[in-house]
Amino acid sequence: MDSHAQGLIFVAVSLLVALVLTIAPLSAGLAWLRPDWLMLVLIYWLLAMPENVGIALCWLGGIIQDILLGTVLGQNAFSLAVVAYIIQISYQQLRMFSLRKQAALIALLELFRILVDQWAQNLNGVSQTHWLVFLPVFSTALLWFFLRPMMSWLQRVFVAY
Amino acid sequence: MGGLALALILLGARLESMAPLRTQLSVVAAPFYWLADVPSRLSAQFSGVFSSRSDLLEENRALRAESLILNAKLQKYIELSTENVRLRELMNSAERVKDTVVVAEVVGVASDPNRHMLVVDKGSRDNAFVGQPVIDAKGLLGQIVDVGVYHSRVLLITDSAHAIPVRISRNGLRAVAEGSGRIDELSVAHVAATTDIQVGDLLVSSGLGDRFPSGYPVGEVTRVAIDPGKPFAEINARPLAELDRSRNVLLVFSDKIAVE
Repeated sequence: MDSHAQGLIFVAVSLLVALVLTIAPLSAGLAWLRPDWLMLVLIYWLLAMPENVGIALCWLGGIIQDILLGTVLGQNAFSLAVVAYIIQISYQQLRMFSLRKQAALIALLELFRILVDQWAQNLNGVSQTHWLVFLPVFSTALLWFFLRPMMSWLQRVFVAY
Repeated sequence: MGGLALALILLGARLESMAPLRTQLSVVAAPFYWLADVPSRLSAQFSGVFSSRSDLLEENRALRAESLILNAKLQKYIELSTENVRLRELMNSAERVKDTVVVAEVVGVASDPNRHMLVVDKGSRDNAFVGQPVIDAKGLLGQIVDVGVYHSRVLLITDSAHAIPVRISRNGLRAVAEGSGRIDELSVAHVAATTDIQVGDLLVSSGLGDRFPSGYPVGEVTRVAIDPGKPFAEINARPLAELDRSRNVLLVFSDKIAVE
């Protein structure tokens, strides 16, 4: 198996893990902090393998997330496609950013994702929300500090370049 | 891609024809739910393997005692229900529909803590349908809002998008219990301040609206606050069903509702 195929398999496995973590049951308090695993993993691949991971894959991942969560069909696909577009037009600069700068950008993107989520849920008739829904902005940005080094280590170990 | 997704969002909320598409797509979700449920299944299995003999004996004894008590209550219930049928015949009113239930296992909870939803392992394959009432041993839990092939999604009565017609079992007063977004609270809306309602009153489903069968316990009134400046009393209730603990729930098939 050549390294390209290995890379694609690793992308697929990491996305599967991210999706399972998205629906893994958490206790009531921790659930508010649940980071946006899918977006983090997709952003990692958008930066690491921009020639293979693009807007279409992010859109597909978003649709699967919508099906899993029972949210409005298309809401996560939409926000992830926009995130992918933003990353894709400037990935060469973003790659050079420090971890801290990247985390700040991720916090902004996550805020956008949450706002889209709230808007779509309002369309669906959910009237009351809690300000705690914005907590993932912080947890997702913080997780990036651990996730990026870990993913690049795993990539070095499992995908021989 | 973005435009396509936006169109999906806007059309999905309005088009009826999107529902079957969702049912088909839900097949994709089955392996994910299976995987996410592995830890809790494993822990249940391990606790079964490693529980000690004395614990099991103790549990067995407790269950026997409970079964005895329940059987004794059942005798009285059988007599009461025959009496009830007889009285209804005297009054020329229809006999209450018989409900059958199917046990379903909870395999997931909504990962968004703002929504109160469960995923159960019965879908269109097991004849579950949208709008089907779901109960547990203590009371009414919610209703099915989304049916997949293998799974369905249950909206709990405490979700802020949910409301259920109830009546107070003490005096038959009708009201609507709305979800508050908190797992242990319902709010009873639009009850006039002069209404006879007390802390401790039992709310049961009234059967109005043809969605929930009548007579299932929903909640117990925990707070009645009457502010003379306001037209309505502020009433809170505690749901009786174990919304955040149930592992097994019951899907209710009542003949009247299933026909629709």
